Amino acid sequence: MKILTTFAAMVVGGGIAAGSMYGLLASQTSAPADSPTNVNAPQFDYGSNN
Amino acid sequence: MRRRGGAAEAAVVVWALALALLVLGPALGPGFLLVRDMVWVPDLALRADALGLGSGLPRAVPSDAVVAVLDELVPGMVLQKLVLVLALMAGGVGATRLLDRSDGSGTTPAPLVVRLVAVTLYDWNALVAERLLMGAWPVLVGYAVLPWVLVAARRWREEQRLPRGLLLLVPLGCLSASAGLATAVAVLAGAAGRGRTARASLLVLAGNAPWLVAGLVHASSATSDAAAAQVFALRGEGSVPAPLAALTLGGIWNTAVQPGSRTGVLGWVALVALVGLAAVGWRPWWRRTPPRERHTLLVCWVVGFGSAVLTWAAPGAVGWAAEHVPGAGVVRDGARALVLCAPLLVVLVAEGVRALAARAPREAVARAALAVGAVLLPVALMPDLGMGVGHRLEPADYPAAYDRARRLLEDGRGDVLVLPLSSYRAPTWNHRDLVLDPVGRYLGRDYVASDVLVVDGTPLSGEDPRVARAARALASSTPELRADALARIGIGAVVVDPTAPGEPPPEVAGVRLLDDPDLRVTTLDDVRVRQVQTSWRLAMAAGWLAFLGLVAAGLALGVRHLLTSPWRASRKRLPRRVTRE
Repeated sequence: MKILTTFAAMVVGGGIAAGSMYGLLASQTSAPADSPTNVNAPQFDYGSNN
Repeated sequence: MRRRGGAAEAAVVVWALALALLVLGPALGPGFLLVRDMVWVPDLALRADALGLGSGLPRAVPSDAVVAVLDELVPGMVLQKLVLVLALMAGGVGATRLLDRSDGSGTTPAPLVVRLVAVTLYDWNALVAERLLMGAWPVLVGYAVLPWVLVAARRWREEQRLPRGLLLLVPLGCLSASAGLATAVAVLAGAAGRGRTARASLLVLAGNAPWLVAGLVHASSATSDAAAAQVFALRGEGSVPAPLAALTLGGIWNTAVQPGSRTGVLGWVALVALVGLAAVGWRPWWRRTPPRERHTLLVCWVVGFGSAVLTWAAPGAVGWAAEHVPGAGVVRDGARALVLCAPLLVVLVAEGVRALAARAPREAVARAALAVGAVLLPVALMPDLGMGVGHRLEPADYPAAYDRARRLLEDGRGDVLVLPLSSYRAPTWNHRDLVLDPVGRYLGRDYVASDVLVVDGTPLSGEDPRVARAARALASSTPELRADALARIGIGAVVVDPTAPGEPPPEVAGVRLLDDPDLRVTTLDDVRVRQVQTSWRLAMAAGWLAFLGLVAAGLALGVRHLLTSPWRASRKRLPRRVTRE
């Protein structure tokens, strides 16, 4: 039981750390979250509710 | 007071700095960060509107004036980066102070891992991401100051003496209206009672005096479009409803700045993880914390969460208030109030981690793995905050034409009209990133620019009456008539951005000083310079006197303490070396 809990703790902690690294790297190489501003629009939206 | 372990405290500070650098990343490169409402320039002038004497609503009072003074000492580009880094660092370190416990023999800091968890969560969350992308740097400065204000208020209660630090923290936490309101709630929640209420009230009034007085003198134009309340209300993130998003400090109205990780599955994972940890930490926190301290954080949380959710639940009421009560529009951006929820959330999550750590396996490797996981959990839940919020914060350099225009307009009469009459730009030299038109701030004179906000194609009317007058002047039939009409309302120059979207503005007769692809500058004759009423000047002088009086008192008392501190006295008492001949 003790070995199991130790193993589980290592998996949880290590998993979160690995997830953080993966997420940081993936977010740097993925496409931009928002589209470039539409330069043909008559004026730019300050923001969007959609 | 027990000394904090030097190594542990250093680790906390280093971690806070590391997170600040990781969050900002490439944003710290050469150039200016120009994103939505954050417009920094090489040398911001101390203009009338920075002092609250302009014709428009004092949205940038007192932050513009503070920057205008400080950038005489530190160049604007460096100052901007310093403000952002120090705000994140100070906020994270301040959050750890909320975990300290006072007992009869002094103050006991929390275990190191628990403190590191607090730093990470305070610096790495939806509120920080969303306000960075909105350019709301005064809100972030107020957010950074908040835990320190709460700790100082605690000291005030315990020592029955106003802490010197509050005299500086309060003005720093009041660089904008919404930041000032949050700081006021924190001071009053933390310090009111037992003969302190009056002094606390005066303290927050003085700290907020510049924008309060400026708002009062502009009361006739301080009401807002009621439709804006629905637009700026607290909003859900992806499938996470607004009130639930607010529990983890998210829910900004503008979906364009909501991090992608918050709108997907991770949004729900974050909710379950953070609220779950907070629930685990609730009972130990309740048992471990003195009642007055619990009351302080709970009041802050209730006011913050309640204000935010009110905008979601009753936008009609908020809109009515904004339309009829001068200044009420300041609360329409509901998510801003969530700064007040951050201290309790961070403390509860940290206590939850502490409670779970007590039940963790004894093996060092397992405990180390869990500790690393706990500290990095906020990063795992929202990884796209890193590196300039996923490279959405990138510095840019102004075109040379801006500097030429500033020099050409240095000595002229009258205010500058910035055209076209639209608030935001997305210049190629700024990576096509949306930013409030920076031209006005770059120049050294007062200016008139559109304050109409467009959301999903729908314009929300602004408040500056001179913009409407300028628009009517531009509707005149010839360039000469336009120039005359503009000169009569105090416009001495017209600066046009030819790269801005929409129809080119109509020609205005005058002397063309600059004809550049990035800017065109035309000066007008026979300008009737706008006069500021004496009553306004006197009122603003009083407001600034109150604000600066706090800063001066804080600095003076701080210097006096340094000069008369026991440390200095003990160094004087050390025996001198005696040499024998």
